[in-house]
Amino acid sequence: MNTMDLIELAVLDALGMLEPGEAEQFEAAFRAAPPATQERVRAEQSRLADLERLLPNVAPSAHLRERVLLAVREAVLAAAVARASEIDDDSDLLRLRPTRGVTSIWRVAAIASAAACVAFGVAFGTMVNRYNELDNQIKSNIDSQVQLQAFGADAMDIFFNPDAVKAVRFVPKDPGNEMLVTLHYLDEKRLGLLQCGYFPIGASTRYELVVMKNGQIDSVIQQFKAEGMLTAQRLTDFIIHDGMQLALVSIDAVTNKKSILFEATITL
Amino acid sequence: MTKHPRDSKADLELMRRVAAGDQSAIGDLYDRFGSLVYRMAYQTMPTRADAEDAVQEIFVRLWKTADRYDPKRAALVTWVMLLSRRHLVDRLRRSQARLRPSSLGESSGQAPSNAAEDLARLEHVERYRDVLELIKTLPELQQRVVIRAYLGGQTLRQIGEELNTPIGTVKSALSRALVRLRERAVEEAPI
Repeated sequence: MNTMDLIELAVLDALGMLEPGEAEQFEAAFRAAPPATQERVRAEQSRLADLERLLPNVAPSAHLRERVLLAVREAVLAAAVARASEIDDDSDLLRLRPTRGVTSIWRVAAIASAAACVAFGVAFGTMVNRYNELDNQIKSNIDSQVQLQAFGADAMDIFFNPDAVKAVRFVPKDPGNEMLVTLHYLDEKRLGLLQCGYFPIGASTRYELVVMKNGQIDSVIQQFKAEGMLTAQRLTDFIIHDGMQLALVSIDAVTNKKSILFEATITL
Repeated sequence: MTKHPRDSKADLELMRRVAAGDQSAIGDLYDRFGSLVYRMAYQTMPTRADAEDAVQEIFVRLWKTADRYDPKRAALVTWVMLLSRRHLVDRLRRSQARLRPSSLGESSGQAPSNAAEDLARLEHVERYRDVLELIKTLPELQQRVVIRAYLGGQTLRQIGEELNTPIGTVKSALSRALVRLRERAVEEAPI
């Protein structure tokens, strides 16, 4: 394939006119081409971005942004559900090969964890179908692997021992806020399991779970950074009481100003 | 072109965050390219509702393939346009509402139309209005090929069969037509 053929294919590729076989052939030829030829092809495809000028001058409706974001979020959730269901024999959780110093009780725990993973997968599938109920307490348990990693066996109480668990309901300060927060409290263990979904990720972005009193921050329970789609935090020696007010705040990297994202009032 | 030029490092970082499912990054991506993708979809799809469905699907596809984005291969705007165009053509080909040969007067038993007839049949369609003005400036074969490929999503093979023209000729005609259209579009754009 010479340079002109490659450029011709690049133009057709920009139009979406290449058949699957041709597209692969084009990509392979592009990768094998000398840097100067690659540059010409890149330039030609970039120039074709000028075809934008041929497009009608119309604007999308205002609701389309929200619709697109919801569709992507559902797809992200569906992928997380699929991953959670893909527990196979290679999983560390299910691997039962003889291991030095591992007692049978830990193996049982591992099997229980794996079973919990599968159970979570089923539960999450149901959750996806009820996506509009964003404040459902178990709604954001979307990635059981993250949850198990962060919370271990305690995570199983959420599903298998619901009487031992209290769920704190957070309300977004801004109704348009698309982030998710759930907090489960295990009274006997004085343990809080905080999960935050879709929090903006960034080296400079920090968050805090705080106790509020008279509309002001009274104390900080936990500070953390968002990590990926779902961030899980384990709150040890965590004690709640009736009427206690909590908030989840973001901290501005430059000014250190704290802004309330979610609020919750404990009702026991 | 996009109204928000960014450097390739920032684009790569954005696409990494999109791949991670970061909602704010997906919002940023929509804010930069939502209008462009919608305009592409509006031109290609038969109705506004279909265009909105297509935009939604394209952004899901952008999320799914975000980890494959390579700034050395293409600028982000080019990559978004390539992926969008491929998706729209796929959708058009699957759709019953695409620009079928019959809509161009080539149903069985009818003689193949000429370019002027093709244009006359499409001129009432609002979404084609601007682009048809430019298509009219192309040579006859290029007009017929670009209408079928660019607006109709037909494959090169289908076009070759309909116009009784070798596929290599169709390919070259389409390629040249696109380059000409781009040049004309640039010439006519306000400075």
